[in-house]
Formats: sequence, C-alpha cells, structure tokens
Amino acid sequence: MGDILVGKSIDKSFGGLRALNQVDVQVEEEKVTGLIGPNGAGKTTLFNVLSGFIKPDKGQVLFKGIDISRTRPHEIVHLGMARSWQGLRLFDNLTALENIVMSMPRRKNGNPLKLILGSWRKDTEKVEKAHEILKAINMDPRAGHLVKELSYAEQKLIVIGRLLATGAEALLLDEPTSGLDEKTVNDLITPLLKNIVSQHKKTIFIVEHSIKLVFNMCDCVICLNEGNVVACGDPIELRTDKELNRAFF
Amino acid sequence: MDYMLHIAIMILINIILVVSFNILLGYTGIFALCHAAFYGIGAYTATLLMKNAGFSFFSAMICAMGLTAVCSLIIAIPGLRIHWDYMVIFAFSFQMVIYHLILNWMDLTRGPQGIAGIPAATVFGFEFVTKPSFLLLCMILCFGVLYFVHRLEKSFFGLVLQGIRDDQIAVKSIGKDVTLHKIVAFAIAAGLAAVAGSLIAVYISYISPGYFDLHMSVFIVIALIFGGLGSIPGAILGTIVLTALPELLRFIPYLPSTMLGGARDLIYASILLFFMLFRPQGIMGKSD
Amino acid sequence: MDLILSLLVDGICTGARYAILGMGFALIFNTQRMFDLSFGGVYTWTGFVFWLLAAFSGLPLTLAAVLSLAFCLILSYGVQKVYVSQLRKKSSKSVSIMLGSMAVMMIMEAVVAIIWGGEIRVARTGDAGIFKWGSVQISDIKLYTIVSALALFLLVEFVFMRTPLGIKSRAIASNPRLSLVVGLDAEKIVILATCFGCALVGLDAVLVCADTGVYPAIGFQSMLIAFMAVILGGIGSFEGAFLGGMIIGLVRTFAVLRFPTLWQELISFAVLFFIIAFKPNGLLGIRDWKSEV
Repeated sequence: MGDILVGKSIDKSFGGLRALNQVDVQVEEEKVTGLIGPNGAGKTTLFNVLSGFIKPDKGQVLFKGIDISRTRPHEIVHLGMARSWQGLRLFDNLTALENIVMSMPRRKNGNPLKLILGSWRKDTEKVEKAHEILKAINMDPRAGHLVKELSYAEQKLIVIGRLLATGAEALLLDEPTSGLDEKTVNDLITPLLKNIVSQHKKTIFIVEHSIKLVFNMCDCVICLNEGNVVACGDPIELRTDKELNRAFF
Repeated sequence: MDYMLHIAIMILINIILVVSFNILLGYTGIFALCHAAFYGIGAYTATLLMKNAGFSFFSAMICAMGLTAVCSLIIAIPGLRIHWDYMVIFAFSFQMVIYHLILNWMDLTRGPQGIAGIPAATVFGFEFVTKPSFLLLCMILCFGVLYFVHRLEKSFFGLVLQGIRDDQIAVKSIGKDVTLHKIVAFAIAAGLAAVAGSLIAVYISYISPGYFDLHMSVFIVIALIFGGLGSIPGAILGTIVLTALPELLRFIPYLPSTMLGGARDLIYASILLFFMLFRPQGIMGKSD
Repeated sequence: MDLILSLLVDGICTGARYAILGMGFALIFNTQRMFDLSFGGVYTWTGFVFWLLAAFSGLPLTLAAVLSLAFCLILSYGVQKVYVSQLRKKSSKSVSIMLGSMAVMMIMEAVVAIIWGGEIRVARTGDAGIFKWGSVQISDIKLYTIVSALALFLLVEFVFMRTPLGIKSRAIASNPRLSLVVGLDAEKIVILATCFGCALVGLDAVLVCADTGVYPAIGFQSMLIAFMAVILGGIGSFEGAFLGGMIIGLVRTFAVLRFPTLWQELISFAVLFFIIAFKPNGLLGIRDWKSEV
C-alpha cells in the first residue's frame, strides 16, 4: 500500500516562532497513523498545513501524488481528504442530521436551482445516507436535536460523523477523544475508528494525547517536538526506545 | 382609509427589503450595511428603463434585479478577502459611494431633484393606478419574495449559509466553497431589493436619492434586529412595527412636526440599543 | 500660484482638523480594539455646549472652550460607564458593540435635534481675526487648528511612549487578557483612554463650532472622517491616524481643482472603499490586527 498523504520538508513560521521545521510525514493508505507530541509541538499547525488552511513557507504537501500545497481547503475535501478540529467547530444552531447532511458532497450532475430552492429533506437518497451515518456513530435517535443540546461526548461523535459524510478517503482527526472519559473512549470511539478503517477502507491520521489509544490503534506513529519530527515508526519499537520514553512517555 | 392603504403598501415594500436583507445578515451572518444602496440601484434602473426606454413594469423589474445583482459583485468580491468585522465599514462605504453617485450623477439621475413622472405599473394591459389595485400588486410580489426566501431557507444552499454564519472555517472543512456561497447570497439579496425598488418607483411615481441613503439602510437593520435575525416571521414583525411606529407619532397631540425626525430617530436608536444590550438576536431570532 | 498656496493652507488646516479627529479615534480604537462610535454623540454635544456657553453665558471664548472640554470629558466618562461598558461586557460580537455604540450616538444626536433643531449654530463673538502672511490669508481659528493638531500629536506621542499610563494602554491594546493577568485594570484604562480620545475629538468640535458651526448630525459626519483617517493611516498606528487625516484633508481640498465641489464626499468615500478593498491595513497599519484561522 502506498502513501496517500505525504508532507515534504515543511517549514512554517509565525513571526519569529518556528512552528514546523523541515517536517517530513508519510501517511500510508488504509492504515492508522498517529501524531503525538507535547503541547505546542506543532501538531495542529501541521494539520492546518496538510489540510490547506495554512500555506507552508517551504515544502510540499502531496495527496494521492498531487501537489496540494496551494490548494484551497474545500477543494482538498473534494479530492478526498477531510479534517476535524480540536475545538469541534460544529454548527451549534443546526440539528445533528443537518450537520451530517450539509457535509455530504454535492451531486455531480445536480441542478443548481434545486440546491437553492429545493428542500433538502426531499432529497431522500441523501437523507437516508445521513441516517445511515448517524446509525454508524450511534446517534440516530438524536438526529433531530440541535447540536448545542447534545452532550460533549455526543458532539464528539457528530464530529466523526461529519467527516464520514464528506466521503473523504483520508480523515485527519485532531484529538477526537480529548475531554472524554476512558470508558467512552474504549467503548465508543475506539471501536468506531477501527471500524472506519477496516470496513470503510479509510485512512486515518490522528493527533492524540492518549498514549494508550495510540498504541491500541496505530500502525505507525510520528513523534513531533518543537516543530521537528523526532521519531517515526512502529509503535512497539518506539516504546522501547529509551530516549523517546524520557521525552514522551 | 387611503392612509391605511398607504401604510400597508409601505409595509409590504419594506418587508421585501428586510426579508432580503435577512438572507445576508440573518442567514449568512454578513453585516452588509448597504441594503438601501441595492434598493436605490434597483429603483433607478427600473425607473430609467420604464421612463426612457419604454420598458413595461415586469421587464424593467427583471432587468433591475439582474443589474443590481451584478452590482452586488462590486462589494461581494473584495468583501470576501477582508475580515468579518471590516465588512460593516466596507458595506457602509459602498452605501455612501452609491448614494453620492446617485446624488451627483446629474446626467443620469438628475441628482437631488429626483426623477418624476414614472408611469404606473402595467401588467398584461392592466394599469395598477389606484391604491387598492397597487396593494394587490404589492401583495403578490411580496408573497412571491417571501415564498422564495422560505424555500431558500430550507434548501441545501440555505443550510450552508447558516453554517457560514456559525463557523466559516468549519464550512470550508466540509468541502463547501464559502466564497461562492457568499457571492450568490449577495446577488440574491441585492436582486430581491431591486424588486422593492421597482415597486416604490411606480408607487410614488417619483424617486430621489434621499429614499436610498444610510438612514434607510439603518432602518432595515433595526427592523430585522427587532423582529429577529434569521427568521422570516421575525422580519415581517419587525417591519410592521417599525414602519407603523413613526406613523403613530403623528397622532401624539403636542409633538411639533419639526421634532418628528428627531423623535423617530430617538425611538429607532433606543430600540437598537435595547436589543444590542439585552437581546441581540431580536424578538424571534434564532441565534446570536 | 496664489490659488495653490491658499488651497495648500486650507488643505493643511482641513487636514489638521481631520488629523485631530483621527488621533482621537485612534486612541479610542487602539485601546478598545473595537469600534466604539459613541464619540460621535459626544462630539455633537460638546459643540453645542460650547455654542450655548459662547452665545448665552457671556464668558470669554477661551474659558468657554475649556469648560466645554471639561464637559466633554465628563460626558464621555458617563457614556462609557453607563452604556458602553455594559455593551462590552454583554456581547462577544464586535458588531453588537459597533451597532450599540452607534445607537448611543444616534440617541445623543436625536436629543440635540429635538431640543435645538437642525440649524447650524456658530459660536462667534465679533469678527474673525485674520493673520496675513505674504499673499496668504488665514483666519485665527484655522491657525489655532493647525497648531493644536501638531501640539496634540506631540503630546499624545509623549504620553503614549513615555508615561506609564501610555505604556499600559498599549499593553492592553496588544493583549487585553494578558494585561488582566499582569494586574492592570484593563477596564479603567480603556475608559480613561477613551475619554482622552473623546477630549481630542471634542477639541475639534469646539474649533469647528467657532469656525463654521455645528448641527446635530455633525458628530456622525466627524465620526466618519475619523474613521477614514484611521483606516487610511492604518489601524493600530497612531501616527498613521495623523497622517491619514492630513492626507484626506489635503485630497479633499485639492480635489476642488479637478472635480465639482459636490463630488468631495463621493471621492472621500470612494477612497475609503478602495482602501478597505485593496489595502485594509492602510499606510502604516499593523499587519493583520485580527487573523483568521
């Protein structure tokens, strides 16, 4: 399996602060790659660069072989890569169902007037698919609730649901389990993510602070510290590395 | 009775304005403080087409809608690159530019003298000359606009607009072109404002720059804020209350007419302040 | 040549006026980091108070001016305390604050219009003193304006750069939350800086009242100019506001050479439009005073 997402020698500075320094990343297809590092290491900045929200000062981002370093974020989603946000960024004043439906891609041959004048509820195909996604994340019963009425854990599930709705093959998840208790993570999130990879054949690139989850799920781990990649490889091998242990674990 | 008809007609025309402005502020969250400019462009375009080129009402209106929508690009396109908060000032400057343009472009608009003698609306040979008949025309068009905006609200496009209001960056991350959506929202809102412009032109048979100034834009804003952002019933409520209010002032016994303007402004401003302090989403509004 | 010279003098004077307005607003805005438009209302009131004092109290003009400025300070303090602080606390959205403060300004102007009507009021006792300089004539008021502008510029520069109060204000301007942590009473300093800014603006109200007169809407008009000066000069830069005001004043005056006088407003707003569209940071502005992601 090849690398679906590659970052080459990425540099990014903000004012005088070097956030990313010659960062190389490779994310293999249909695998789970983890990105760990202390706070401030540059993980979210890297995500922002990879997903097109920030342009790198130097370096390249390649997705499926295409250079997307200067591509706009929504176009990158069309190409097949979507990301979630640490701060959720859900549409609080819309329902769970609406959040999912909105994230689904437009029909290729659709009538633009229908987009503007046709009620989205009448698009039964899309609505059914949205309900399927909601069922996959165990949120179907709450479909009609406004997102701001949902619990934090439920909102975290909607975040994942939205990603699924985009139809993207590569999903970048920025701390999907932060703020959740261990039981929720083990019972809800982890199986869901594993399912996404195995059944839906997606690629996952995940930023995490939970070392347990990282080792449970990841085929490959990248360690970032102060904008530099300090290690990359099989989690079990990294675990035994003394240097890394001191820095991270 | 005649007076009541007049109020009703003004309310209907204003509803079209406020409801179309709702698309920008209520749904998309764009504070385009220049809606009166679109109103004015629509009105002058329709007027000139009807008076100088002999267009019928409907064709003039359609053309006015198109031209106004195209003009909205002038503000929509640069407006995309600037930060949210700047939009108010930018829209405001657009409003002032359009107003002064109308005021000064004597050859085209006859400036402060305005354009008089606008023919009455004729549709399929029927001339809407009397107030009751014109009221009917307004009701038809107003209803049409309301229905259109209602459908818009329930569409995919409408969902994305509301998403943009809540979080533009999230909208980008689910694969929607925020820029394109904003441009289209502007064009639709501007086009609808032109409907109101066409109506006021044939109603009063006279237009002048003063109808389309900043004051009017602010009025539209206050009406929407009062009634409720993002809500069609709210927009209607706000328009009715704020259009009717100054008329009520006329009935206060000792208020000299010189004070009317100031009193009206005082009331409007107080309403605005009250809502900003205590309920920014308006009476029936959905969210912040 | 004479025309050019007299236009130049006029331009500099208008520019000086606008520079004062710009500096005042820059003070308010740089500390608050939000568009508080209430100073427009304070402007109108200060102008009218000066007129009332000059026309009805028999006090010498200079004393009336000083009293008016004192009134200005008190009024702006009151407005801040009663309305604007509430606005700032209650809303997270800067648009609400902009609209709310605009409402405050509208209320203040509407009250003036109701009480005194819309005529222009001038505070003049006797003829204007004229200074002659070669072939150039300049009225005393215009001279005072230019001198005030320069003096104020130096004064505020000094206060901002050297004194503790100024340094604190700038700290708050760049990072309000941090200042709270460090122990500065942000709210107090913001109010103080705003009042100071209003005083500057109020000075222009006094000068204008003595020169061409005031009317209810003048606060709004002046607010617009202050706005344009700050945006042209660059948000966040105090020197920019001064420069912006000067440039707008000169451009407006010299525009008369080419365009009909009525076009002045149109040109000003068109300039504002294009600056925001293509160079929102203005001439000397701080880069990206608010960023996106």
